[in-house]
Amino acid sequence: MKRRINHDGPLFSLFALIAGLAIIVPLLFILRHLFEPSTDAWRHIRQIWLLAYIRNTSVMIFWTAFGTALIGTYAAVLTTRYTFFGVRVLSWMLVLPLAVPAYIAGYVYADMLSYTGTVTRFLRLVSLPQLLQPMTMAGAVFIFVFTLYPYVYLFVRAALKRQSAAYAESALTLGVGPFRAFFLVVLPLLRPALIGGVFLVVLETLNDYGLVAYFNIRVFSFAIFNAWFSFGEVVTAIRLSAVLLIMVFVILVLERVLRGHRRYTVHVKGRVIAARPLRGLARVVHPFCLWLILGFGFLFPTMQLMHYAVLTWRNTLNMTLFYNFMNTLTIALGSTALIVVIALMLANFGRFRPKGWKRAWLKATTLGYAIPGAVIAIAVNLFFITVDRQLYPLYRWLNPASPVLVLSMSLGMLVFAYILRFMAIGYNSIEAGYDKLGETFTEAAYTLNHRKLSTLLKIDVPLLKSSLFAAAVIVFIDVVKELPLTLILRPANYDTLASRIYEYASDEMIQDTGVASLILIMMSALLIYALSGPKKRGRSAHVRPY
Amino acid sequence: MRKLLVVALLITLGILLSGCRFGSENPEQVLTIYSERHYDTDRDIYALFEAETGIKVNLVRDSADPLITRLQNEGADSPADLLIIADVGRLHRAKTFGLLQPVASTVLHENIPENYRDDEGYWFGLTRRARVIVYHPARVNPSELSTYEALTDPVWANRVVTRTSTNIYNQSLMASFIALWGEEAAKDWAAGLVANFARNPQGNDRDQAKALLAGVADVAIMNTYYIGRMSVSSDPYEQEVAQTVGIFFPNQATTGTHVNISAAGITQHAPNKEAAIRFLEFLVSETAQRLYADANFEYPINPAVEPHELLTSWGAFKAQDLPLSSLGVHATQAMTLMDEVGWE
Amino acid sequence: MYVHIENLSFSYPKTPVLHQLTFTMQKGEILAIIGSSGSGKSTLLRTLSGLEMPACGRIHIAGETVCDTSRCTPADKREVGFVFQDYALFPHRTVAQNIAFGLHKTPRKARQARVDALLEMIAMTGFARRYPHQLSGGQQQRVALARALAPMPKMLLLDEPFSNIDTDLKHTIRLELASLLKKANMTSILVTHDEEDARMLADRVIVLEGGRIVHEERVVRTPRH
Ligand SMILES: Nc1ncnc2c1ncn2[C@@H]1O[C@H](COP(=O)(O)OP(=O)(O)OP(=O)(O)O)[C@@H](O)[C@H]1O
Ligand SMILES: [Fe+2]
Ligand SMILES: [Mg+2]
Repeated sequence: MKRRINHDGPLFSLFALIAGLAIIVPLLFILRHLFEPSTDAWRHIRQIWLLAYIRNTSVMIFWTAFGTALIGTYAAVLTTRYTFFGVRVLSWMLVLPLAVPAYIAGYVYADMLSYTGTVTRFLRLVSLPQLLQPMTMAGAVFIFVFTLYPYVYLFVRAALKRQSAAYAESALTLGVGPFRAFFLVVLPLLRPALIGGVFLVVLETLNDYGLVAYFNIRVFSFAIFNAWFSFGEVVTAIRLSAVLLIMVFVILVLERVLRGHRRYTVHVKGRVIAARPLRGLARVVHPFCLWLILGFGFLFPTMQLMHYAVLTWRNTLNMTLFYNFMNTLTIALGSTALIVVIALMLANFGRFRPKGWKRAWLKATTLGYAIPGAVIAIAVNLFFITVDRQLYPLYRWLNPASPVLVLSMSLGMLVFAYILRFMAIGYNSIEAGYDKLGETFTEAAYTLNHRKLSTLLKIDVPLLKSSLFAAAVIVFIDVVKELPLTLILRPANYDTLASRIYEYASDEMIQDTGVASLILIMMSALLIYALSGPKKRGRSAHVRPY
Repeated sequence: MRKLLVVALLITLGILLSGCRFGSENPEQVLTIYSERHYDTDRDIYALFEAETGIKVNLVRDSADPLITRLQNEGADSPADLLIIADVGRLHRAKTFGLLQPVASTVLHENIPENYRDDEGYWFGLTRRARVIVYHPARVNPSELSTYEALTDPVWANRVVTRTSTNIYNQSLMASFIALWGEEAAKDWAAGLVANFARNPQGNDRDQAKALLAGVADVAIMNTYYIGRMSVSSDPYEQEVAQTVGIFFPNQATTGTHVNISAAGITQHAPNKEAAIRFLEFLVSETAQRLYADANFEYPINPAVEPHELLTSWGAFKAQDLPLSSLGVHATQAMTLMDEVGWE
Repeated sequence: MYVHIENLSFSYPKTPVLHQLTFTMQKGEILAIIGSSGSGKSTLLRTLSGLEMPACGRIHIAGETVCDTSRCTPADKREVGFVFQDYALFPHRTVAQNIAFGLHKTPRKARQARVDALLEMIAMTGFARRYPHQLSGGQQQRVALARALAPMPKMLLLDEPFSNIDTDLKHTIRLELASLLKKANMTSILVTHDEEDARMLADRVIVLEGGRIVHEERVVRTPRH
């Protein structure tokens, strides 16, 4: 038997164990449904729809992935390798579309292009026909691409900033031209970043419900809700999500196989390529394209929302909205803090060459991101009800008049579901931070008689500050935008901005979403500014901006 | 950084604890409602009830099926007293799942016509909505319109729009036809309608009305109250849509126009059954019905209350004469048939 | 014997690295380990410091068994100092804070005094409030040494301490280091590629090849000036 130094104090092992259990057990609650006998609805869906679901989902994912990869990389390369007028502003503003939930963009674009919409009216004014059909697959892909490309942009940008000039320069000295050098050396080295970003995009796309339901695009997330809503069959919904999980898994394996034994994350210290000014026509064309990208993803939808807000603020800007805002703020802050802390503990547990079961366990704790929100909601609800029933004697001892269901009527259930759902985002960015940091600082602290916890707080946390902050911002934005979990699991009399927006929109009162949507977007936008806006010069020169 | 973490953790704990306290309120004073309706009017009506009785109303809002699933999961421990759903088919489903209990109340019987409540007393209607044919007066003369069935005639090829088959309004319409004409005839109707679609079904009911003005189609099948709500929209251009289109109540000479209801049922394990009944009685009282009718352009369930004047201007109409529970009985079948004829 | 290592073996998953190493050291002795790249020098230091757990074997340091078949003291309790190849100075802490890092159990006053003394010893009193990236390679090396010495470890391990320093400076620094270690009477193991380093600094040299000790010799020191 091989022995290893137990770097993981009992605290961390225990913590990882509990966190893992808390995440895996609820999922087991619904897994058993997979083995129940087939129902008519399942047979019906399999016969008529399953192939179409798979085809539509594949088409949607493919084009969204392709589009975000293209636009994200394009924007990242331009803003890191070139200088031009407005590049500093653009380089952080290009992240802003992340603040716009795809479903809001969907409602807004559909309205803008509808008969009464701004664009159509303008075209009518100049006697032009409006030929765009927003509520199609192409329209949905368009919206996903322009609201989700920032994931790719952020990842690729960070990688480009780290990439040493040595690679490109050695290619040049080997007689390869700059254009080919980019495609032969620079781009392949960006691959892990590109894949990381695109993978997030794909998962977000797979999980969207609001947009595809409104556009009536028959993809899996829609099918899962439809099985539940139209057939009233939770079992079929869970089966469909199992098929979806298999698809995600296949994508992951495919990527692994393609990657083979190559390694991309080499830490080469050295000079980073300096940005060059754009010349000639490019000086106009490229900035224009970037502003257009930003326009589609952020500026145009926000402008339209402002118009809605002007129309409706008298009815919608009130104390209720303020409470919704406070609810959103507090629950997002609280969940984000918990997710980041737990992810940090888990990532810390998984350092130093995790093997076998440990690796698998950690992977399992991040599963939630690949599971459709509706399924998580059912799982968490069942889990909490079971826990409540077990804890009932305790409740009664504390308060003889206590009802049985306490936790499952509380906000705790929703927070728990957020944690389950978004752990992967927190965990992956912190793990990436640890990767960049390496192990020596931590080991040096151990040899200086510091225990694991004290090392974590004194060395790891300060050095990981930027990764932690980046993780927090992305998780926060995701929580603020989240829909199915929020709708299904929020307690009585509790509303967030997102749930209000959804309700207005499902009552076909898109104009009334204006103020709430703007507040939601501005909250996220402020954080994005804090994350990647122009940096003040400080002594944190050694800490790489995200 | 560490201070920041500590503060964040404290906030979280605070939220969790304050959230936990919710369950331990004095149960006599609280009525818990699981509702699919999320109009602002509903909230105003509940507030009125709270003011009148001192009973606090806790509102859990979500779509019908998540609410039903939740009730099933919670079983006897559920805090819910009342389930309110905007489609009687779903409420019927809840009844067959054993989630509701029957109640008898003279007030309810007096205020709700017989066909708008369950004959065993499991659910009671609150508001009615009619699904009608809306047309563009420039291209369609109302004399050309007669029945839902007539829309399958080839003269309407490429001229009809409506929402998707996943939408509950269309499912309930289809279910009513299965109940009236049987499976074969209903399926033929759906196939004929699909053949006349001007575009792939998409968007919501308002989008169907806009499609008429955009020239995409000439007739649309949609709910009446959306026209009403568009007529008071904050967007002046939507008002224009509502003022332009015409409303036609189909099947007046035959089976009647399709009507669905928002309805409520008292849950099997309601902790406060008495208060729940009182609440139901309040909802069908003239005060509450007046509010429903005025704010949301739905037809009141209580015959003593007049609809909104816009609706009265469209005239009275004959509704389908069906036991509404049949909408629930045929719901899945409707869905399957629509899928089979390629209604997207 | 102050340090006693018996039958020490270590392997990474699938890669055996150290094979049955046995050697001893006296208090205050400086041992140099040389060997070609990949021969396991760094791994040996990591095993001695407690950062890696040996597959089998025993380690005694200062009369205590820190590792044998039944238990193994982890790095943070072993009191073995380590100077890393790239120094691993914490970039977010000043020179003084780096040196004080291992003194977290020392009372504040004593800690301050110790940091001052060490700064004086490495002749960097004026640099207390600088950050690591504001120091030269040689200065960083001295700070790393002071940091490792601060908690008064039972022994000190140095992994290629001169690899980042150019040859001109190397000579002086080497002499400095030797005198510092001797002054502190610190039992030390020094890994190096350079035989000259070994001869100038160490009392004894061990040559490691493929994870085995292939040669051991006492340095006959030409008297220092
Ligand atoms: N993390 C690891 N996993 C697997 N094998 C490793 C790992 N680290 C080192 N090795 C292997 O262990 C052997 C010894 O490595 P070690 O770092 O101890 O060599 P070294 O003597 O210090 O070499 P150098 O002089 O180049 O620093 C090498 O063959 C190396 O390939
Ligand atoms: Fe509606
Ligand atoms: Mg080495």
